[in-house]
Amino acid sequence: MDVDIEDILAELNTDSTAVDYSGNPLSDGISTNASTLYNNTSSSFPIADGKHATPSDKLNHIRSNTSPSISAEHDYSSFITLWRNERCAPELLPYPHHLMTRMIMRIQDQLERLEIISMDFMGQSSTTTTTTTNKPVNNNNMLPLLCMEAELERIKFVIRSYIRCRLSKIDKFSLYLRQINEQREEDHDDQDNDSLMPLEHILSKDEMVYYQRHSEMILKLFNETTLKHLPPELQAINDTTGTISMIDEPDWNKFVFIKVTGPTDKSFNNDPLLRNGSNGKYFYEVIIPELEEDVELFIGSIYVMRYSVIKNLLLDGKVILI
Amino acid sequence: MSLPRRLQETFSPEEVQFIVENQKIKIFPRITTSKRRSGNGSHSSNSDDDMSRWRMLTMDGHELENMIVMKSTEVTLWLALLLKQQSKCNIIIPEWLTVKGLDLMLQYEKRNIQRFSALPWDWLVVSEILFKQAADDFNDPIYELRNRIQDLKEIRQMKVLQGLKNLNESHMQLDNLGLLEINELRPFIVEVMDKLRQIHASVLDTTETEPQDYDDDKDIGMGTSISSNRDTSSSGLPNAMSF
Amino acid sequence: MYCELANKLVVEAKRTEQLNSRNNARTTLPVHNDELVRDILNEVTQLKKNLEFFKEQQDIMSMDGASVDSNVMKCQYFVNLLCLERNKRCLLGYQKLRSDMLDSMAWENNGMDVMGSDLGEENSNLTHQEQEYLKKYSELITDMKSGELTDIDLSGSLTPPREIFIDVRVLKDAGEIQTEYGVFNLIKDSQFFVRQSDVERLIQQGFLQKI
Repeated sequence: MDVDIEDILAELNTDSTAVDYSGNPLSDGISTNASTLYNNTSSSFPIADGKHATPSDKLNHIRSNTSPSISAEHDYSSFITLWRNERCAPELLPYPHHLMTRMIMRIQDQLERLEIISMDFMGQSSTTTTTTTNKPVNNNNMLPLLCMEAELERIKFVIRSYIRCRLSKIDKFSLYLRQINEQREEDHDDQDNDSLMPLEHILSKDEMVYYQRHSEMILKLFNETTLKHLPPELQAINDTTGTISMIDEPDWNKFVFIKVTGPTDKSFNNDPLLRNGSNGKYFYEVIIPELEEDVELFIGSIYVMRYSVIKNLLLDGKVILI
Repeated sequence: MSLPRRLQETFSPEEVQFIVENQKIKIFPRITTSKRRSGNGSHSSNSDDDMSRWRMLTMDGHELENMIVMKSTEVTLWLALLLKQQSKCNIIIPEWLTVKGLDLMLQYEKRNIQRFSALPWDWLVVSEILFKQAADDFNDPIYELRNRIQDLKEIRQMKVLQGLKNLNESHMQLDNLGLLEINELRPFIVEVMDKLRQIHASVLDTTETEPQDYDDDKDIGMGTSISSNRDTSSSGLPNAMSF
Repeated sequence: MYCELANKLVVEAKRTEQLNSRNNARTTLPVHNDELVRDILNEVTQLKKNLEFFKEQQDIMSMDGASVDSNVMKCQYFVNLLCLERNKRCLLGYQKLRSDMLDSMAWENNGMDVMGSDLGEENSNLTHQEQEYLKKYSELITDMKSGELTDIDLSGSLTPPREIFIDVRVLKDAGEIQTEYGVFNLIKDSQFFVRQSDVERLIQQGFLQKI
């Protein structure tokens, strides 16, 4: 209960030279360390038996895996980017396991802290009279409290919106998810096919549970009302043999608005995909396959493009959806 | 659905405001919170200390803990607005939101019909918020600023409308367009470009001719008359069946 | 003609969807069109019988060796199959629309018990299976809300927070209220700075006025 995450992280960060607490150059509104956001596989928590890691496990792991992107501010701005990406993208993006765990831990921490503070308040205010306005007496002391509460509401809102967006996409694409899961199981022996991410990376544990239970419910409803009355060949819900496939795939060609932010660590020279244009500006080059067209995406510009063309750049954090 | 339909296509204006409120802005605090700190990371169970300690989740508390009266510092917009509501700070109006700044932008807009001036991406929202909640912090009279903002809005909308001609099925480049403007246009543009893409694809299928050459950079904003087409129920029935 | 009834069902579904997207109020589900669905299912049975018939005919003919009419036969079979598919899609579309609306209802109501009027009553707009589905889905939502994500209140508001704390003036004496920050004595004409969520009801009831 006495564990204060921020203090521990602050201690860790003073050892590494990467984080500067006064005016952190890494955090403007948009830049994020998104490459670690979507690639959870690179550093996995040592979780045994599928149970959640205890807080001390996680802290130990953080100790050994320090990176500058763990600061609260960074996490929050990364999360906002994730939220915006998820809302705009036509498909379900990978779940940011570590980020969410950290944020939830921080929230729980903050709630406890606020409770302690407000209990102190209760002790104080019982002695003040309340016939005049409370303002001058309490407000100076209450200011941090106000700010913390307001901030908490904001974080809760974003997380809530994010999760609900994902749940609605899970509902929409539940047949499709099932299909890729089955494909993945079939290809299990084929080690070369790594392009499909396992479902555990894309969904959180809760989301998996939701997905399974919900699809069960819906299938039952459909079975009872219509499917069982049909001839056996048509009784499948994921029938692809008819004239139209019943599985809804995400629309890979949906047009999205993107902003090109460039490599997340701002090292323009190290990015192999980045080219230098004639006017000195950097750009990425992408190809629209159907039109056989090359497009140059300059850093800092806004474009409207098909999702499939920029998907890889998105997962690397080099463009964001707006 | 878990997410209401109106939120599935685009962000609501309140959400756009939320996004904008996460940006930073400069303020003059009216109180001092900076104290000599005795030691880092030491827990104090003394309730007085706890209450003056700022422990923020989304920002590091450094700026807040070290506010000194009238020494300018930078915080996020939502926090600045909260402090302002409590009369604990004055907001420093950004450079571009002055009569001079806006006049420069207007000139650029008038001179360059094909481009948009380099207004910050949150200009509409920030200006509206500050007019409402920080009216006394402005040096210039607000009605003048409002007039200019209105002019800018109209000019840009006009350009956007004209740029509609350039909607195509490959891509568009829209530098310097503000977030609220993009948000309004999004459902319309996405749908139109989608249809164009489908038409183009079917043309390719049937005629088997080479596709025509397309210009690459289209440096224009597109635009729309902004009745947002939220209830275009051409997306009709839910997705399980396509007809 | 086959599938005309299915069309009617689709039109009804579309109308329902449009009606509901207009008003921002809570999602309401119109009564389930039992009659139409039953008629369509009857048609489906008829089509099934047709298919079986054609299949048999095909088998008989191939044994006889006469292949003159087999194309016609195949065509008939195919058309029947297409009609069946079409009916299936229309029925499922209707059902899916309704289940989507049930989902929205569950999310809007969660926290409170799902509208008693729609559950377990004979004149409810939902079929028996739909009621069961609604019940189970509400349970699922409740389960989702507990666990790691308890603190974020998953079924809470989807509009961003504004004005957490507000100034209120007391209009009439209202006794005491208990908040996290202490007990406030509500005496007429006094002012307080309180959390909006705490005093929302009192404002609605007219005891407090927002400044």
